[in-house]
Amino acid sequence: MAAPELSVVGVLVRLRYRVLWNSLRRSIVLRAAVILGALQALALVGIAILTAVILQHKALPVERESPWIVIGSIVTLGWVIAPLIVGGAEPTLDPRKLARFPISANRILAAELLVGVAWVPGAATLVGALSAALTWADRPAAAWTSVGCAVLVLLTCVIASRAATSLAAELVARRGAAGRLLATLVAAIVLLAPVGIALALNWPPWRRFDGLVDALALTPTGAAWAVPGYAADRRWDMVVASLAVALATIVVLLAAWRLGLDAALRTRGSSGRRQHRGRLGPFAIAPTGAVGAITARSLVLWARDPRLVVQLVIVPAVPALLVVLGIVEGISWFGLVAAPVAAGLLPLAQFAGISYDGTAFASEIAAATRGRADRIGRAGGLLAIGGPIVLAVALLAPLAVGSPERIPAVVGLSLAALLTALGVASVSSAIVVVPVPASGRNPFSAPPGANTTQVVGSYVVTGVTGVALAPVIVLGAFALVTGSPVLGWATLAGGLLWGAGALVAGIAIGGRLLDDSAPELLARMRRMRMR
Amino acid sequence: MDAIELSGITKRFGENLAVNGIDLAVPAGTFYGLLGPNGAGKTTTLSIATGLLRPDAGRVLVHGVDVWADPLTAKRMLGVLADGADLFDRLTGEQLLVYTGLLYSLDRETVTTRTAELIETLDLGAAAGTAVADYSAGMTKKVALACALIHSPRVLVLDEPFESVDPVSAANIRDILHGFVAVGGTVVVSSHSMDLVERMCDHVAIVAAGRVLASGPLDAVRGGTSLEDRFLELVGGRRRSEGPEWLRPS
Repeated sequence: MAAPELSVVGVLVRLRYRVLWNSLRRSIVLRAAVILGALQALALVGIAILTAVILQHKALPVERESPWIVIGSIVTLGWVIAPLIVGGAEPTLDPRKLARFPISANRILAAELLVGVAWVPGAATLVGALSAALTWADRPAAAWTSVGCAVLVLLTCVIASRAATSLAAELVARRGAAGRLLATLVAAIVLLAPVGIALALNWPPWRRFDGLVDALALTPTGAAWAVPGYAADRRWDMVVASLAVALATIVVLLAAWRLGLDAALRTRGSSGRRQHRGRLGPFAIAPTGAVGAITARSLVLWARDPRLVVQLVIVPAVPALLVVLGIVEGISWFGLVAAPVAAGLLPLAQFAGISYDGTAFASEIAAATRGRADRIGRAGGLLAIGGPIVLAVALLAPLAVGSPERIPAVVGLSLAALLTALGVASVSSAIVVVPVPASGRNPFSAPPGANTTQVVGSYVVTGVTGVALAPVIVLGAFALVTGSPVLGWATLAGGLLWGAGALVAGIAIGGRLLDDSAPELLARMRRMRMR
Repeated sequence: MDAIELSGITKRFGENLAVNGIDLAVPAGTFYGLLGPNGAGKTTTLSIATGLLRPDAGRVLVHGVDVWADPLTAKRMLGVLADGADLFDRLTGEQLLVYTGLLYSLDRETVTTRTAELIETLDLGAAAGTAVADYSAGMTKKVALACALIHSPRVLVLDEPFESVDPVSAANIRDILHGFVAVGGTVVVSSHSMDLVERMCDHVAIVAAGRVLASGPLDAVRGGTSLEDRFLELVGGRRRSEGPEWLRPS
């Protein structure tokens, strides 16, 4: 019976690459994105090899294994966190699609694992981890150990990444925004808590660096990376302990992934909500006309569409991180820039916002909706949700780092950033549509190359926003550095005016673009949907 | 005046010529059936006729108004059910109807009464508060149809309106459509179902490979035989066979 099982896995893996190949053939943007991604991976591998060679010299001031453990932990964390933020797992092998075939969860698991291993990030991670062997060229035993551990590293990364996305998707599908929060919390506790404890026990890290490294080596993120170095130092107790943690991590993550997969195979995607008739939400108070209709729709979707709810996480996450770092490190300007950074990032999620409509966008074209009304409605929805949050962060973060006198400047900068970024996104989303998971699909899945398309697109939009915001940034920087109240209030007034101007201009330009090309945008989305 | 008039419509997708110079006139007050095999260009033609897809060449008039020159006036007269198009399916059925009504700038009172009436007529009451994402295919079709009706258009363009709709709802929908035609409205439906078209429609057009093969009043098109025989004769591609050898459970 072994042969048919293997062949099912083989068929699934071939299916995945066939789909990838076909979509690459169809889209030059995807080809460019994959090539860019591969170049980036090559560069990272190059850096890893260079590091490995430099570390061959024994005269360095740090233990030779320390950089591997620290950087390796970051890489492993990246595998878990990145797909939760930008959408990662490729959906060809989405268990919900495969549920109607008689394929056991174990075989889907095996196929997904193979696919995860045999692609750019997997290959780059493997080569990067293998290059550690160069560091211990003078100790064959340690070098061979690092070859074996490279495989452990790769398995840990791929399995952790898949477990995180599949569990998070289930939680979001069932609990909506609350599930999203829960998933983030669980991921943070499982992965970050050990790192946090390691940091806390060895504070400050630069003075007790070796202790920190030893502690990291016993966390799920660092264990597999740590074994070869300890073998080279003949610290056998640490070798055994790290290896045990590494193996246990793989077993636990496999079980968690299997749990998520089972849940996905059993349940159909469901919004899980049933309201009483007559509960119209924002539609109950929206004024008639396209602006009212689209604003209300956008408000409902920001609360209900898992694909959008996922993007809102960046709003509390970035400032929280910056404020905590600011307090802990005593660098107060971290706390001061938290709100402007979050405000500028929030509209970024919508730089290709129409993509999330899919062909439902047709309802606007069928009603001959003016482009300007569409732009105002979408911007209004995001502003109604993001505005209060940004304002609250802009008021509280300066207090948290103890400079209440800088509140006007921070508020001015934040609102200017929010409004300007919204203006830029109002233009870009009338031009760009990108492949996104269809409504009701795993919000953490993404078509191949889509991540890179999104990342490149958001670089461009961030750059344009930065340039458009430059005058306010200069004024705000002076106000923050000098702490002058006059400059602070000037930043508040100037920032509001400037941002409002940028938003109005963005809506006018984006609206005109949309009037000219809405049917073409729809046609492009229809082709993406057929893929 | 014709309710919809297409002249010289052409649309190419890459190397595939989906619509190849279609001329079609839908007289006002008719119940018009658009028949064709899969890939004939029905959906593309209807998308172009409703201003959702820009043709490479040709002109579309709705009651004499050019859809691309004066979209606002033309599209107020059109009610559209696009086959396979997504809906904003995180909205509840009721929210989706109100959204569509507001989008057409109907006043609040009109939106409220029409939403309630459409929910009753199409038997959507039990699911009105449920997200459309959780609807069955037939329910989704019904709520999409309700959205096409809410602004009381003069011309209804419905792509596969009866697909996966249960028989009771289909009969209700047919009643609504016949009533609509009886008071001067025009309905265009596309379908695979010969029986349905033969029973419902008074005018038909047969489309294949992006061209109109026959069009006009039902009796003129079928010319004495059944519509299905006429269709197969025009479109061709029929095979007489009992299916593959292995597909015979004994």
